[in-house]
Amino acid sequence: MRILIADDERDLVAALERVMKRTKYEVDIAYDGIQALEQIHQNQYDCILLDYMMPRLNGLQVVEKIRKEDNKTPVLFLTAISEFDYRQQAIKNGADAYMSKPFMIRDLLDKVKELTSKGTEQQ
Amino acid sequence: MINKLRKKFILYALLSVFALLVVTLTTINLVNFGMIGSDADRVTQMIAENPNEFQQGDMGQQGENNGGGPGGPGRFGPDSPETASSTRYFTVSFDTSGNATVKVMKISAIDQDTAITWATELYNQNAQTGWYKVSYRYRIHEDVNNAALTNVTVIDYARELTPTFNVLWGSIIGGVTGTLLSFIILIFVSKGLVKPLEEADKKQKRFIADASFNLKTPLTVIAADNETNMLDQGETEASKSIEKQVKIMDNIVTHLNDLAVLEELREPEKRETFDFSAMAKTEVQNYQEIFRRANKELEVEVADDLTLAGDVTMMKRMLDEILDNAVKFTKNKAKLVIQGNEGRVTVEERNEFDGETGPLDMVFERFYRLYNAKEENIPGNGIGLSVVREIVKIHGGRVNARCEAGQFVIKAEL
Repeated sequence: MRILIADDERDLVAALERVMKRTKYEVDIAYDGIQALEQIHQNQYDCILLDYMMPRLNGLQVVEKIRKEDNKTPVLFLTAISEFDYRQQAIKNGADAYMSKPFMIRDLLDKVKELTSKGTEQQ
Repeated sequence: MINKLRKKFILYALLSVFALLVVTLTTINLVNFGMIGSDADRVTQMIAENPNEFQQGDMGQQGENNGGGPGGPGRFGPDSPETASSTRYFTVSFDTSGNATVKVMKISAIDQDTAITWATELYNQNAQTGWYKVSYRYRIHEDVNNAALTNVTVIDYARELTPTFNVLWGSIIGGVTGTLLSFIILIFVSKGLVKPLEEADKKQKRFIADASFNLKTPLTVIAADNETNMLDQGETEASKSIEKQVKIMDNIVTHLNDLAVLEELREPEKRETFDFSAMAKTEVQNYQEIFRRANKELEVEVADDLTLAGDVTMMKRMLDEILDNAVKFTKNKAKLVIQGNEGRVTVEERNEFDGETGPLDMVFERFYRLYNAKEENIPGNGIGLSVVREIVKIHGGRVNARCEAGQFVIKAEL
């Protein structure tokens, strides 16, 4: 399974990368929205972890773009903003689920597992 | 908070201006009326002392002495030499048996019968001088020519009183106008005065929102690293403690962030009329299980078909915080009653409680916790009820807390 982690918080990305690799996922990293788009265009992912507030292109814009390109890769939206509106907007733009920071790693792993298996079924 | 401060400033400043105007204008008018009374008394005294000269309209030397000069005691202005001739008055004499006789009738507006009626009335009361029928000044005095007679002299002072009444009306109009003008000025002035406070308040809220937002990522990293360690090396006391503290900090920063967002709002961003009863019943169902797990009981009475115009997400949050508070603090049982009519809703929640709350209005202040919360290690951060207060305030309602008969009661009126 290959996943993309897109977040500008490098410490968080490093921590998530360690966890995901330990759980035997193959992990790619992007630190801004444009990098994330490039990675998505170049590679096939089973799940994308997408932060909301990223430089150059935010998470909402990234998910909107890839859905317009008919990319159906499951997207898990990660946000530190707990307001209801942002979550609703993320789902509206095409995200499959969202998690508010700080989240429990066990919950994140469960959610990633759920999304990847759903993606596999769809394929 | 800033609006409340501004209203208080306007109120106190306006009350000060009003009090100042009342004291100043009342003093001016009391002095004015006092002086006109003294002035009238001097005239009645002149009549009492010089009845014949006054009757003839000629005060001779005395009139000349008074006329054009600085005036007598208690008088600022000059006496007019025409005082005797221009004064309209009558004098009625009473003998020792109380029989009345009209002595002088130098007035056209009153006939002799009326003069006797008025004089008799005045003769039978105690005051020696005073005002009668608003504009008449009277004096009861001994007749200078016959000590057995008591005279009642009444002068018409309406013309002299007119400027005094004009000053009174002017004072009332001036006082009202001055107060209104002060109110308008204060509205503008107060806006400028509270602006720095408003900006400081905004900065503080922004800071809280930014700080709580920016703490979320480090917390996520700590939680992630800790969990990775737990997965690699197994759970330890230290890792469990870190996990617990991260959850507490997450709870605090989430509440602080929400509170900062709520405090910025003056009204709900989304206002829609929704079925409050249905929403409340669903929310309560979720909490029945939480109460059961805590070995506590939640009794619920929700009236049917209650509707409310507001933000349904915020209302869910309000109930959530109230019930969360209840399950933590009630001894064994809590009771939630939701009633209302015509678009109004009242939410009342009762906890079994036998301790001291401290000042009840403090329970809505952020980070305030009841005395037993720390002693009994009850989880929480003291922000939940602050969130409730802000949500209720945004919806134009009010919330209060009280203690009665071993119960702690929170009542929100929406």
